[in-house]
Amino acid sequence: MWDGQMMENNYLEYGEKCLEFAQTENIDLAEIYITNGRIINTQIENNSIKTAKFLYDHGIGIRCIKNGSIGFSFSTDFEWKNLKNMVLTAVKLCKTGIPDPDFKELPYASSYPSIRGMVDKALLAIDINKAMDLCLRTANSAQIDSRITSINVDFNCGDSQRYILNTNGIKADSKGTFIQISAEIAAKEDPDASSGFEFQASRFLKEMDPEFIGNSAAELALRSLHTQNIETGTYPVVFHPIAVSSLFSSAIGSALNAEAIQYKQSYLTDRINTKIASDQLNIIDNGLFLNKTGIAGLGTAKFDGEGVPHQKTSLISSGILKNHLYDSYTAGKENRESTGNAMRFNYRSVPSISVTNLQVLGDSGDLNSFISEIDNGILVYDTGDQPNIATGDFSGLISTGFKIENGAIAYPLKNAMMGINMLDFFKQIYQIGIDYKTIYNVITPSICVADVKIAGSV
Amino acid sequence: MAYEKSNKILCGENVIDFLEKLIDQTLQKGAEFIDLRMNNSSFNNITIVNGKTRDIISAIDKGIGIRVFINGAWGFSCTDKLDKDSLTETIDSAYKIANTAGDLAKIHFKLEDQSPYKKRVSFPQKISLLDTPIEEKLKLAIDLDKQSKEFDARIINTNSSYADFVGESLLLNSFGTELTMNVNFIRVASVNYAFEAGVRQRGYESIGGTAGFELAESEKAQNLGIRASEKAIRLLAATPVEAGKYTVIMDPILTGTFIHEAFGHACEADAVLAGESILADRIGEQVGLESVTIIDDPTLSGEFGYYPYDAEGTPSQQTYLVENGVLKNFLHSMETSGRLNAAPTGNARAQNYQSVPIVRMSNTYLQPESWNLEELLEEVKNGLLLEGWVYGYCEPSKGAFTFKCRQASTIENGEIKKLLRDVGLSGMTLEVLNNIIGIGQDVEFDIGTCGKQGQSVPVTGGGPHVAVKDVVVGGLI
Repeated sequence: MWDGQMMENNYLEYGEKCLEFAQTENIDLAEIYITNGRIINTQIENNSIKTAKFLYDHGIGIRCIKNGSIGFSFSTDFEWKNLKNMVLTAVKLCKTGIPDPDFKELPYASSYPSIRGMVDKALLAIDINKAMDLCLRTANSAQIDSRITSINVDFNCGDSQRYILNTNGIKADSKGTFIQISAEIAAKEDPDASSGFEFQASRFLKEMDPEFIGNSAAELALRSLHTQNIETGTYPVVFHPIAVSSLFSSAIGSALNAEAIQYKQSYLTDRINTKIASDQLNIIDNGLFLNKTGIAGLGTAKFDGEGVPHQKTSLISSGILKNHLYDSYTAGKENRESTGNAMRFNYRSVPSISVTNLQVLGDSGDLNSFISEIDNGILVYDTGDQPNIATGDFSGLISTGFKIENGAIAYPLKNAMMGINMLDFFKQIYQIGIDYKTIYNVITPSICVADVKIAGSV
Repeated sequence: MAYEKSNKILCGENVIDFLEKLIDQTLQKGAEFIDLRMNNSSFNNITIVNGKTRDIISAIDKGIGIRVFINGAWGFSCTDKLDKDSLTETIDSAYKIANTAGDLAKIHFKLEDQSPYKKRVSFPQKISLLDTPIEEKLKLAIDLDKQSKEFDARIINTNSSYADFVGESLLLNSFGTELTMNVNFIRVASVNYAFEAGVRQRGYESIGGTAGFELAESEKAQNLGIRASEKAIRLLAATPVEAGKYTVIMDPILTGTFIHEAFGHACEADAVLAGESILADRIGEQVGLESVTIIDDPTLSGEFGYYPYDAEGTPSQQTYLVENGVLKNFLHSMETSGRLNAAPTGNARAQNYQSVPIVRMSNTYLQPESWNLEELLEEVKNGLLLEGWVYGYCEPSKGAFTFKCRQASTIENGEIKKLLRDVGLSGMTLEVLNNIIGIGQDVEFDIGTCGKQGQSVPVTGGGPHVAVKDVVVGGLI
């Protein structure tokens, strides 16, 4: 169905025309953000192809600024009459809002890094048959046992282009492709029911291993049958990369958002250059991440949602908190530079601060070697819960977890809860592996934490 | 915004005639069923943070989504280009995808014929959202933010938001349905943070519905900021709860969330068909005590989860999920009702034209009984009163849930005593429905947006105060 080409259009011209028009309306600054994307989605329900979708979405968004007050509007229609209306709406909104002296500037033009590994020609040429084939291969490889009761697979791939222009001279574009396959498997052996999942996401088709995804999800579902209660107590815990990713996305990613810090909403407020973790913990926000084979991360790009070049920012170095994540507004408030973390989902959204690729650096070992070193402990595979960003407290269900006994996995946990403050979590990290797994835009190995309170079913 | 006006711009001829012609042509190619939903909507989002406008957003969004059904599989394609060529291309693309998918499908099924509806319906609205100037909406948000801040010096951060949505959606399908719905939503919310002596707490209040600007002028909306700040300030003095098994009273908001998240999702027939619900094959079985009756009701006009017709053109209705403890019905789309041989319930909803209709809840609640709160407290004697909801997590395939409540209080000798924070509860859904001691008489609905398969739709969860024994409560364990 696709022709192997990106759809090109005169988007930059439309953008320039809108900026010119906006500048005649007595405003201070304006910015255009255009995205153009295609997505193929197929779903397998109960091992049968159910739905296939083709989505095409393009549009243009404008931010106008007057005395620091920002108005935003967008349009999916590129006819000049409609674009004019969009500009006038944003102009009116920014003049209606409250002046904000904290707003300093939109970013200025700068040079951008060139990044390889963003566009996969194979994905540009993919058709619905190939998509369904990958989906079916995933589903078939999950059919490994009669206790598997349902197999659901979700497949997404697509390409996108984005363009940014502002009245401070920024004019840039970038493009990328992506693919993602996930499997959700249910298993049953009376009286127990369980579920398992696995996924892969990348910018390149060749990195997908549908057989692994189906098989691994099914294995996890089977291994999660017949849960048992454990005794409430303090245990050494191995965190699987999936659990690390869901904990750190909020405990690091959201908590280091400069907006949350400036509004004193984060437990990491006022801790820059202080020791918050064990020496072994090193975390960077890497907007330029390429994996071993030279493929760009899902959060990798030339520039962020405001046109600021992506960069590498050290967040935690040898246990010391080094940086917050800034966009141009929060950076302006502290008279410093943006770290290029203004993320934007598409033309419909305004920028908001987020990690690019959160990269946890390890030093040795992997999940299996960590488990083999523990006599009486816990493997947390997934938490399905997030820490309280205001306090750093984590208290929640271990949605998939296992008891470790004598260096091996003994049985899955029933309704166990985990409780720890993230500052204690960081300080008690005693080993970080090198078994890196990419969970969307988090790249992390397994991590061991010494003393974690685990409450069994009471 | 009416289609009559935009006809000429769209296609140069009556748009409905043109789309019907496309439907006919695609039927002749071999499609079994086709539907298309065309949206034209405008919305406003205003966010005030610490007295300043963080965002003011206003935009118009339009486009069309087309589904084609062949041999047990769906093809879907959407576009925001509404010229003749794009519309023809989009329906062709949906047809081709469905054809390919239908060839590969292993489970084949038919769609049951449905009666066609030709109607134009409108959501209730007294003061037009479109005619209310943006300045007035902004003033409301600014006033809320001001009252939030002025409530107490310990309030360190205020977030006040106003959002509205007005749209027209046209639904055409190959059964002959031609339905135009004028929809409108409004929502106002305050999230405020208090800080004292190293302790940081959050207070949240919101109000919303399928209504016009009159909702924003109600007393409940006017002092929303104060109530959010009050909650945050009260929590500063709270202490963490001790983990354990308690007899609890859930307040109406927590009850509603529990009913929606822990039980309602397992009643969605697509989850049943996908093998992801513990309630599969249990229709007619006793799943809770006889006092338990759970209802999904999209016909409650003005509530956030209201709609007169669903996204497939099926009239909405009140559906008993559980009646006197017996599991009665699942919630259905056109597809699931056919496949499970059940009557359609009108629960197919789509976020917008870019999304396919899937089975969703609307206003879902536990039916009240006769107890008043004092009686429930007396009955519980010693335990916890759990209030509000921060977030939750459920696994319908295991029937397990975990929730974080906004706050809790100890119940000592039948009296509400000490305030607690960081309270979570977890357990098995059906155990809770069988451990109920008493169901209150006071029903409240709490608004929310429910996310499923990447789509968000407005819903409410509701119910009265409910006393339950043997609930596992984890605080900071």
